[in-house]
Amino acid sequence: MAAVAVDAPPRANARPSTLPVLGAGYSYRRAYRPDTYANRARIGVLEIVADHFMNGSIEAERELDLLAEHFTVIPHGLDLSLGSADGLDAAYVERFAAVVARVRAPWWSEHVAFTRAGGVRIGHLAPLPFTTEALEVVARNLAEARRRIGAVPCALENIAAPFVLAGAEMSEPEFLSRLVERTGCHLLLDVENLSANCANGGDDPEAFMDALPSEAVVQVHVAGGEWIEDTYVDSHARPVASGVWELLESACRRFPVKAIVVERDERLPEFGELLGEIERARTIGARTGRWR
Amino acid sequence: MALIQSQRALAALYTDAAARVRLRDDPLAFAAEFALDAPGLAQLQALGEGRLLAYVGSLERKRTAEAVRLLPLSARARGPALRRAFVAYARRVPLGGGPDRYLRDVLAFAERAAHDAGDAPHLRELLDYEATWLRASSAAAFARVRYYSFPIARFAGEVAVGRTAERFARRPTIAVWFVVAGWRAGFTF
Repeated sequence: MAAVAVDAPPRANARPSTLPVLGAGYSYRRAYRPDTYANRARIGVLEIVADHFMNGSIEAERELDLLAEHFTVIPHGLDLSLGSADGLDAAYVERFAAVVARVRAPWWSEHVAFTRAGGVRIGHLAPLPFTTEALEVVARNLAEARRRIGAVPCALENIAAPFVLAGAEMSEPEFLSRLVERTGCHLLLDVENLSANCANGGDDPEAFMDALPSEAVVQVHVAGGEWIEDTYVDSHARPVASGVWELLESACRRFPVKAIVVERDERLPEFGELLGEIERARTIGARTGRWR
Repeated sequence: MALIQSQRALAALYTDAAARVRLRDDPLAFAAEFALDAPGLAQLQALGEGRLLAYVGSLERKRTAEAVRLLPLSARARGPALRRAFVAYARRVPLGGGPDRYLRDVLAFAERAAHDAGDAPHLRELLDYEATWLRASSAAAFARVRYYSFPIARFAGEVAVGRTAERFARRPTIAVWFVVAGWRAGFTF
């Protein structure tokens, strides 16, 4: 296992202009392993769910090495729980840091959420109240995570929230903006999550993006969701919807986007369909001047 | 309203049906249990049961999706029945912690399902076979011998390519796995 700079001091993120332009790719799934290598010229970036590689097995390490040899890899965390008032799980952070170091990631990402409290694992991303206290908790936990992970930049992602907790002192974009200002982190804007929240809450996604700092967003997620009864769910189980493609284009026009990642978790399609979505994302990035 | 208390109460509500009943039936006792002040309790009550249950449903779907990801053959062979069985299990057993929590979750589910007399024997054996491969794939050192009443490796191979296993007849089979120094193997005879 590669060495991890556990004692490195927290540092401000690199300026967006210094991050590499990666283009479009997808969130890696082992079911697509042969297709992924066979089409590597068409995949600009691979995002990996870090949790899938944290069991310490030799196979996982070998797979990480092979992926890093052929692709630029961005580790994406699901369970750092940066919003936990209880603090971080040190063992999880160490394993996450090891994945980041092993793939020589240009940046890593996590969610603005909490996944555990009082010893209970929720099993998924739970929303935070948009309060000053929650902001301070995320900032404190992020500083601790950076001490263990080292100087690799990070991007924090907006989640699909099933509801907004009462007692908010600010809006979500204001919360994210203050987080960027307070910590120097970048943002990973999930336009599918944004679309879901706006569909369920009646908000305007363009106004949401207007309220974010213009230099903050360096990566965008796109995915497909579905209506379950009267709620739009970001199931990541459907093709990307036309409205989400439009939001992607809008985000690319506004922000210094370096990477677009297509996510698909369930009802995995033929790889050709996924490649088509990657190509469409790449075209949008090119059309908006993010890359050629 | 302290975040630490409200998060602990929320985590309980998201994962424990009994906690949701306690909040509904006796909110003041629930508030005392989690040291919530009046604004903290009001925040939880403002969620509403409908939205809370919708979120609980999404958590179950997420946890079940991980089980399906880790047990693709059983998911294919059993169809929607696997999801139903897993959800029933997940409602009784909370998710554990740690980076391999979903793996341990699925193995615990498989362990219980192995004793479920309601399942067809070949499906029970396929689940056990798949779970044993998962154990072997995640262990630094491992050795196991299992007895099956069906030609389990052939059955798994057929399911993997989308064929059903109705025509498989019983045939006693021994499966052996071992993992030594990063080298792992499994075979049947």
